[in-house]
Amino acid sequence: MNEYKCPHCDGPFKIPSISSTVVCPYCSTTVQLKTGEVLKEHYIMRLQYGVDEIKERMLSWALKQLGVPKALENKAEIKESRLVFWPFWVVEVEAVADYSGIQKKPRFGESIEKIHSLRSNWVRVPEEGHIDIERDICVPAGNGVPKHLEHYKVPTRRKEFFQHDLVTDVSGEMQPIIIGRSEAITQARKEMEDLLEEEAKEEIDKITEMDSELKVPAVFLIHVPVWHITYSYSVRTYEALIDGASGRVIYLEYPRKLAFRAMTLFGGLLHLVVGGGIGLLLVYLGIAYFNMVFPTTFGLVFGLGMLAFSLRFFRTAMSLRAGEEMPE
Amino acid sequence: MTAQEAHQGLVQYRCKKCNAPYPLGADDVIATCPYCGYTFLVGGSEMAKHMILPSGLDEKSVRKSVTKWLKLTSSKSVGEGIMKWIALETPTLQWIPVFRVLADFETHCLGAKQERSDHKKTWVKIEETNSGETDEWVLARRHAATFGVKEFIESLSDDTAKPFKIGMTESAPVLNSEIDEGDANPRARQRKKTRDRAELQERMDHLFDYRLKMNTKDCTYMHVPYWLVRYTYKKGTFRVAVSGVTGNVVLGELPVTKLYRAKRWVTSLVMLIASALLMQPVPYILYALMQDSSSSGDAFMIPFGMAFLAVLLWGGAYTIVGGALKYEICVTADGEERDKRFSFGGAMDDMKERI
Repeated sequence: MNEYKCPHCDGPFKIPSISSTVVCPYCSTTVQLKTGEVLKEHYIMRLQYGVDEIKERMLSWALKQLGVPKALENKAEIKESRLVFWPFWVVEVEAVADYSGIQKKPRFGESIEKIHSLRSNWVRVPEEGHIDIERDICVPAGNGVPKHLEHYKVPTRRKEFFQHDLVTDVSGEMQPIIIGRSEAITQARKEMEDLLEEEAKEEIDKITEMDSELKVPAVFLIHVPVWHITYSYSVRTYEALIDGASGRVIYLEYPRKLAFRAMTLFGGLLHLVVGGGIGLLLVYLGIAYFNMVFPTTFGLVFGLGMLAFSLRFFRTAMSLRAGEEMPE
Repeated sequence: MTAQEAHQGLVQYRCKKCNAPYPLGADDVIATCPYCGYTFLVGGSEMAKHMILPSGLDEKSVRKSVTKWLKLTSSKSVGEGIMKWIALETPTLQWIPVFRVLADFETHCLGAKQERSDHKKTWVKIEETNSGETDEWVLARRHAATFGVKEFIESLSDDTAKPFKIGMTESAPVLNSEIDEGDANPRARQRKKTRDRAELQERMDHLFDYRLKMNTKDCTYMHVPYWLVRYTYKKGTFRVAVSGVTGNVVLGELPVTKLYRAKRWVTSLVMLIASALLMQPVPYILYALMQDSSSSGDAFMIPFGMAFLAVLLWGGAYTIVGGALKYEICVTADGEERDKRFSFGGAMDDMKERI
C-alpha cells in the first residue's frame, strides 16, 4: 500500500502498490499513475439488482436448466454475497486489412494415378483479400478477475460518469485497476490482429502478407457491479456470478439429480473392478500358462478398454457438479 | 444490504407517451413500454416501423404440440415409455426482439469434390455464382442465452407480420433490443456467410473461396413469440422450445432412459470385445509372416489393417459409451439428435484431440 494524494481535491488515500490507475475516494477523480494524467472517460454501471432480486433471477434461471431438482426454489439458501465493482477497459477497434497469401487447390480434371502422391496434384495459388471489421473489446483491468468474467461482454449502454457514492451507497467493494490504459489498448489490438488472421485463414491456407491498419477511436474505463454469491442446497454449496447492472447470470453452479451421479460413480467402479479384473486375469493366464500371447493380447485390449470406460464414467460423475456458463 | 436499499439505486424511466414508470435494462437500445407499447430508441425518437409476428398459440395448443412432439421423437430414440412419467408445466411466452434484414446478395464460391471411377480419382471443380434477395433474421440481443432461441430464429419467415400493438402480446414480457440497426447489418451478413459456408462444406470436400456481397434494402424491427415449456420426468427437469409463429417445436430435450443407456452400453461392449478379438491373432500372423521369407510386402498389410481396425473399434466403443452416460439428448424439430452421430472419422478426430 502506498500513500497518495489526489491532484484535484488534495485528499490523501492509500492505494495498492501495483495499481496503474487510481480513483480518489473523495472526488472520484481518476488518475493514470504513470503519466499523471487525469482520465475523464471513467464510467460506472449503476447497481440495479439487489440481493433479493438476484436470488430470484438466479433461481429462476437455474430452474430452466436441465436436471435441476425442483426443490431448489425453496431450499436454496444464500450463504454469502459479495458485491464487487470490477474494472474493465472497453476498447473500440476498427480494422482494415489487405492480406495476400497462398491457397492450395487441386488440378481440376486430371486424374490422380494411384502411385502418385496426392500432393503432386495440388497447386499453390496466390490469393488476396480485404477485411473490414470493428469490435468493442473488453479487457479486464483488475487483478485476479474470475475466469468467467474474462470473456464477459460487460454492459455499457446505461453507463454514467464514475461517482464513488454509487459504490459506497450499495456497500460494494472496488477492485484496484492494475492494467493501464495503454496496456489495455495493446492487448485489444493484439486480439484484433488475431481476429484478422483468423478471418483471413478462412479463405487462404497461408498468410504471406498482412497489411493491416488498426484504429482505436474510443477507449474508456468502466466499473461493473458483479455479485459473488455462495448458496447452499441440501449438503453442498455452489457458486454464482451475477451482473448487478443487467441482472444477467454470468456463471452459475447448480445441483443436478444426485441419483444419476451416484449411478454413474457406481458404474465406473464396476467397470474398473470387473472389467479390469477380467483383463488382468487373462493377461496373467497368458503369461503363466500359455505362450505369453494368448490370451494376453485379448486381455490387454479388453482391460484397457474397461479402464477407459470407467474413467469416462468417473469423469461424467465429476463434471455433473460443475457450473454452467451462459453461452454466448 | 437490504432489498430496499438496492431499490434506491434502481432507475425508473417514464414512458414519453403514457408516463408509466418502468426500468430499462443495462444494455437496452430500443425499448418498448410494457403498458402502451410505445417503442423508441433510448435517448432518441420513436421507432417508425415496429412489427410483430402474432402468436397463433395459447397454452393449450402449446401443450398439445409439445406432447405430440414428445411422442414422436421419443419413439424414435429413447422409447415411448417415458410418456407416462412426463408432467408438463405451464408454458411461458416471451417476445424476442429481432431485426429482419432484407438484402440483395451476390455470392461466388469455388470448391472441389473428389470423384472416383475405376481406380481413378479426380477432383471436380465446383464453381457457382448466385445472386438474389435474402431475408436474414438477426437476434437483437447481445447474448442468446435462452434455450432454443437460435433454432427459433433460424425457423422464422415473415408471412404474417403485422404492425406492433401491445394488445397482441397477451401480457407476456416483451424483451428490449440491445443492438441497433447499424449493428444488425454486419450481423445479418455474418449469419448468411456462416450458413452458406456450412451448406457448401456439406456438399463438397473442399471449399476454397467464398465471397459475399450484400446490399441491405430494408431493416425492420420486430417482435417474435417464443414459448418455453418445462417438463419433469422422474424429478428431473427438461425443456422444449416452441415457435409461436408456426406452433412447431424448434428444439427439445429428452431424458435418456435405461433402455437407451443399455443399448448404447451393449453396443460399446460388443465393439470392445470385437476389437480385442481382432487384435489377438495379429502377433501370430506377424510372426508367421516373418518366418516365411517368401511372402511379399503386401501380406503385411493384413495384420496392420487388422490392428488399425481394432484401434478404430476401440475408439468407437469409447465414444459410444459416452452416449450411455448422457443425462439428456438434445433433439431438433424433426427428431434428429443434434449432437454428431457416431462415425469412424469423428471417432478418429476425437481420439486425436485426446492424444
